[in-house]
Amino acid sequence: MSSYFPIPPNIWIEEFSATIFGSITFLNIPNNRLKGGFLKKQYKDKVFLGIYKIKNNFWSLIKTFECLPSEFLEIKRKDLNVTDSEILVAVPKKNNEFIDQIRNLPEPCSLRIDKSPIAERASINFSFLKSLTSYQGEYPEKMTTLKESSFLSFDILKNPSKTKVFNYLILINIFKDASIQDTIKVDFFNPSNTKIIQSFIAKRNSFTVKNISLLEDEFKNSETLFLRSNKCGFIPIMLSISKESQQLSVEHTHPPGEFFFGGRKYEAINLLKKQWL
Amino acid sequence: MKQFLKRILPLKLIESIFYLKNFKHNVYNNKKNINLETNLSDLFVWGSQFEQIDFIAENIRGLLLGKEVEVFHNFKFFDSDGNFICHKKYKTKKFFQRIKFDAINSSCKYLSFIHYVESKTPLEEIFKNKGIKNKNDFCEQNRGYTIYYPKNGDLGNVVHGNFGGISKTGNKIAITNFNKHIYTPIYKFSKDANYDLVFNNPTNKVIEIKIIFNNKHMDNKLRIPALGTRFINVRNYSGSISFQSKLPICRALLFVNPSTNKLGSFDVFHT
Repeated sequence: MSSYFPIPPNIWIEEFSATIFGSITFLNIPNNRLKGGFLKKQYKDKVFLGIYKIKNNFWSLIKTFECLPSEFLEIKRKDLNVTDSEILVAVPKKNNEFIDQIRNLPEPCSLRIDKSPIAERASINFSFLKSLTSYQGEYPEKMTTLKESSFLSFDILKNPSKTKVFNYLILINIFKDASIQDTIKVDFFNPSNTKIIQSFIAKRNSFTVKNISLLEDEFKNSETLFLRSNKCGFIPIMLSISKESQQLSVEHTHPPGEFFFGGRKYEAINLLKKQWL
Repeated sequence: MKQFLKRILPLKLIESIFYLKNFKHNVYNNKKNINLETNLSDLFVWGSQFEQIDFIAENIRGLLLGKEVEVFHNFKFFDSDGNFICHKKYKTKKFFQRIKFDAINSSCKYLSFIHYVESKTPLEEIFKNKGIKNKNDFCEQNRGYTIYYPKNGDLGNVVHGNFGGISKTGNKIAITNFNKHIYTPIYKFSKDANYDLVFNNPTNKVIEIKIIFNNKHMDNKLRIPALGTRFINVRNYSGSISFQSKLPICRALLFVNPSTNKLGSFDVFHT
């Protein structure tokens, strides 16, 4: 399964008058492989990364990068001529043949050389002054074709000390067809009475950034809230920054599918989703 | 083809076919024999040098029923050689509970633990009432999130459970392969930071991990007993690092600047 690499948004923090910067680090090497014998060929492929944003319902190529085998490539949003939060996707390819304007995002190539497990990933980074936080992440190509899907998540990763920390929920959605940019209503609700605390609008093919601390101020509660959408799936990540030390923390939440294991786990997952969606 | 086979063949047979087809890369045992009594857990990492460690535990029974259900979150801790140290138990009704761990009495810098759930409301009953007849071949999986607060730090850094497959009775379904794999995290180590790379072993066998410093043409080896934990400190190194072992996926937990946090430079993530 090959992957796209979303270049995360920059987030302006009013209180600091400063910005948290998003970037990715790519390494041109198969991230998991069998140990080779004498007869096994060395990995010697060049990889090109095409950076696409959406312009007039088309994916528009804004820059390409070349990455030699075993070399790193760091791509910072601030170095590209884009806004802080518009969708920006790095597409890996084994050749430098990227189309400038295209309706459907080009298929990413795979760096795999055998069937070793694990998704192909990049380091997804956020930095602020001397702080840097990362996770190994990707946006699976398979997810970019799901027109009808659902989303159930929980804001459990927010830091509860709201006087000391800003928490940002970032919802990522990438859809292959650039013309699909419809708005999606996402509900924040209290699980104990399923009362909707707030609904907000997220979009397909976008990053949606929500300051959770502001939301908590509105309803004076820092208990876990649930999020749902019946129309569209997102990858949810939580970014926290300490107001005092400016230390950062980022992680994505497990999808509900991770609560079960085994061949028939989908029966249990469907039951769980039915309860909340 | 895969979808078609899934529709017409029994699940056990399909699993066996894919197990054989994938024999060089299987992550879990084919004879795992799981059911709703099985509570699988990731193998999480504990570090003694942190100011505080929290854990976010999910209440799967509550989530399935849509209401609060009393459960006990259990944690079993194992020292760096995999020997049982202690058991901690926390009662809650919440859908998600943030648990503040007390200190663990051990001289190990890093050790591992598992999480499992007990309740008077069995999953078996929940699924029966919801009309799911075949309750074999799946089980709950406790993944959770660990939050590490560095000394002098004011923010805990979160990392999700990554890999384990250990049941509450100690059965391990994660396996080693005959062939070795080389896993390379997509992370550029920097000379300006210091790192602890922490590995643990969720399998039944002793595993050996070769840590390859790709820019220095040197390596280190770690031998880890079942449920054991080992770490390596990395300083003054720039570039990529690979891990070679018989685990099909060998991912370390990486602590960046674990001992000090004056500049807010602490971080943790699964490689």
